Amino acid sequence: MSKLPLTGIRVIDHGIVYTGTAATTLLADMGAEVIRVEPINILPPFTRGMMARPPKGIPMPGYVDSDPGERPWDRWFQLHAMQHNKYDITLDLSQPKGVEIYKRIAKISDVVLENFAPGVMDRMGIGYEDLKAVKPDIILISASGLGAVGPYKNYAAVGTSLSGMTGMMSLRGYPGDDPTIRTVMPVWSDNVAATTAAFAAIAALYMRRKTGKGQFIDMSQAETFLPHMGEVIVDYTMNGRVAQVMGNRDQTMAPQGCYPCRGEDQWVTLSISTDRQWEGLCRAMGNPPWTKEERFGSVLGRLSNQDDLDKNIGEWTKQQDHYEVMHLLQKEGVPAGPVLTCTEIFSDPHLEARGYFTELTHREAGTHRYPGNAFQFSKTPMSIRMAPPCLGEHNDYIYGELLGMTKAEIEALKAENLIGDAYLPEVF
Amino acid sequence: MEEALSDVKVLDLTHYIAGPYCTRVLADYGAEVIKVEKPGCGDATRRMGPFLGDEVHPEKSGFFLHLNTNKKGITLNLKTKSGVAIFKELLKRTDILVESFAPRVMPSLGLDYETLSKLNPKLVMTSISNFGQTGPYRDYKATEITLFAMGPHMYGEGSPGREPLKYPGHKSQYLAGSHAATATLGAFFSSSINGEGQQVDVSVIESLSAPPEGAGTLMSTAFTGLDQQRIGHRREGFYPWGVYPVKDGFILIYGIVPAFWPRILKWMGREDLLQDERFNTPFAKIMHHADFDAILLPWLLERTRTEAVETAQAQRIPVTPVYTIDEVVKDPQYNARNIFQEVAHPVMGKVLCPGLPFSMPEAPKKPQRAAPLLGEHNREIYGRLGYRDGDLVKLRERGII
Repeated sequence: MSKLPLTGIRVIDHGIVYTGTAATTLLADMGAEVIRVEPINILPPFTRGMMARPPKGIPMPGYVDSDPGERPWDRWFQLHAMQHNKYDITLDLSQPKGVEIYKRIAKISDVVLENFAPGVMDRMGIGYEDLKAVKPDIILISASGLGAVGPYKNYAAVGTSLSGMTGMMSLRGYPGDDPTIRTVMPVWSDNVAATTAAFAAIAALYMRRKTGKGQFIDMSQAETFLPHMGEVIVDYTMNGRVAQVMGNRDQTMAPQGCYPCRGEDQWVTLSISTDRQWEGLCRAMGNPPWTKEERFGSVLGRLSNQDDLDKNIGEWTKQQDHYEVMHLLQKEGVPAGPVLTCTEIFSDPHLEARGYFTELTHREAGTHRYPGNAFQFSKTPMSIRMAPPCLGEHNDYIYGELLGMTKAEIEALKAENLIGDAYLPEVF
Repeated sequence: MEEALSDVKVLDLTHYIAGPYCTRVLADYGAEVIKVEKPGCGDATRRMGPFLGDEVHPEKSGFFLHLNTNKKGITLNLKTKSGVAIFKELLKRTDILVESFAPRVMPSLGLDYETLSKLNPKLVMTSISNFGQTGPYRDYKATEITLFAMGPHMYGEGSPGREPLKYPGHKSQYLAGSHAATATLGAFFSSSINGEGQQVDVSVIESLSAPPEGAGTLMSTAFTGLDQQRIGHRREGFYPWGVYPVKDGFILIYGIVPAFWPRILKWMGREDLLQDERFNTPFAKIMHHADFDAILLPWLLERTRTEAVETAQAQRIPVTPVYTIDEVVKDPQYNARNIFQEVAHPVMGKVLCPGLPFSMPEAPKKPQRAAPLLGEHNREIYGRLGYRDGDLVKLRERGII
């Protein structure tokens, strides 16, 4: 079997929260050797929990079986969602010696990928110029919220902030709702920024092969996401129209919506774009008399009578199982899909048949099924080669094998609290 | 100075959203993307709004323009033997093929990966589909809402007692397009060294469950057994977090990180509340969030959005405006970075579109090229294969181009 596409590329993962962390996982999945560098003198938010040592004896959501255990930072769900296939080392970059060691790793790396606020890497002494001084063709991808130049470069902006500033939140709701009730999590833009940051790294690597030069890419997470809002942006720039909340409806397809099904809080979605699909839906419902009404007989008629359509369709779906509605309508060539809970996704027959999930036993978290990627390669199949790493799990390997430190030197780093496999006792 | 992918040749058999967005990203970084459309009607997105001046016209779709900038366009009828033969000639001169037909279509045309890889062993063939190239739902029909429903996001989106909500627009398809671009470039990165191509199977629904967001939601359930809940912004244990009203609009407050709590009280000039046992620790305020909202809401309603955002940002609290789409286009930060680019189109004139997802300092700054008119580059591209103007007339008469 051929090697994975990015075999031989070494990446330093300095991601926080989602964007940088998931971008480097994508590179790792494609074969890059990714070294994640983490502090032990502070707890970075989200990826290893919200507290270093949460209270014991009460159920804590987010941990395996709601139990933080002895090593909470290795049992937190967000670690397990997006950190596999990486080496994990710890290093205190607030100490000059930590910075010096970081540069030794940078010297033998191809890419550094981070998503701190602009200026943070510079202040730690590992900005682009510092890295370039030790590795002239280094590629630095900095995926901050709004970018490193511009009037708002110093804005404190997380994913939630970007959903406001990209216009996403102005459209994310029920028609006519009070915007203050809108859901803010998940934030979505991280999905896009992470995927795009991985693209940027590969594009820069390809360019480096041709020119011999690295580069610093000042990426704005908001900008990676704005093209995904393209059609409403262009409608404004061309026609001056400001998009409004559509909920589950569409400009040209009707009926379209989310309908209640048998069972508690079960739902199915469907969309009708043609007369033929409409006839298919009617047949599947057993051609009840209301479907013969003239006002539902044409595309325009259906578009202007959606409330009544939805009510009637809902009366039918209420008697049905949500998966059954999908299969029934698909037989008629009608697009339909059930609204799935996570439990249902984990047992969906299609994903199962495609081998989407991998069962994995983790040292601290036990046995669980882990989701895969958006894509599969035919000749170099990706897999979870390494479980999500425990904090500092690969200190001995990276400092010893890769940097050539002696056991005594590594022990000294531990004694000086530069590295370790647990947060320092004073960390909250 | 060259663009990153200026020596990369892409043959683009995609239509609708996910596929065209994938190849648009490749074109954005310099790849020569040749978009192949069906003679006569072209990509279905040419018939999707918004249209310039609401005039439904195949060369006036703003949606098509946005998804197809920087590409070249030819027409070719793949349902004719001659069309397939010409396609194979083009394929020998390409590095990457991206297609987004229903999975049964390419094999039915005799254009499956096995056949194509014999003609061009280094070929990377990316196939983008709703459910992937295999599996029991492979041939199921889908739209944005039915796909989004089958990922982990919809069930938890919305309010208690109401129906689940899809996200606005076409977020699933764009996300799959972004993943497809990254996967394609990854596969090409190695095929360009070792000459070994492969097929990349991209599934829209699988992009929804992938890291970070989808996988995060799924692993939460895997660890705790608890499914998503429609609880709007009122997430237990996280406060304050959500959309808040101000005098002239709305803001987003992200205040859940413990370190932000004293900053929030300072922002409001209410550091005295640190003495109040309802609010004196990050835990206490979570327990008494309704009491705190009763203080926060009237205070916010006395302030404009700009005042609220600027004073909060001065305290390093992530408080930002909720922009409507017109405000997005006018935002000073985006404009300082030239994120919106004017595209000059022969029929539509100048249209401001979202530009590149990111800029590369080692690449030249070039104006965006407009999306191709239907068959605009037939002469140039078929000319490379040796066809003369007279040949093209015959091919046109036979309905092949």
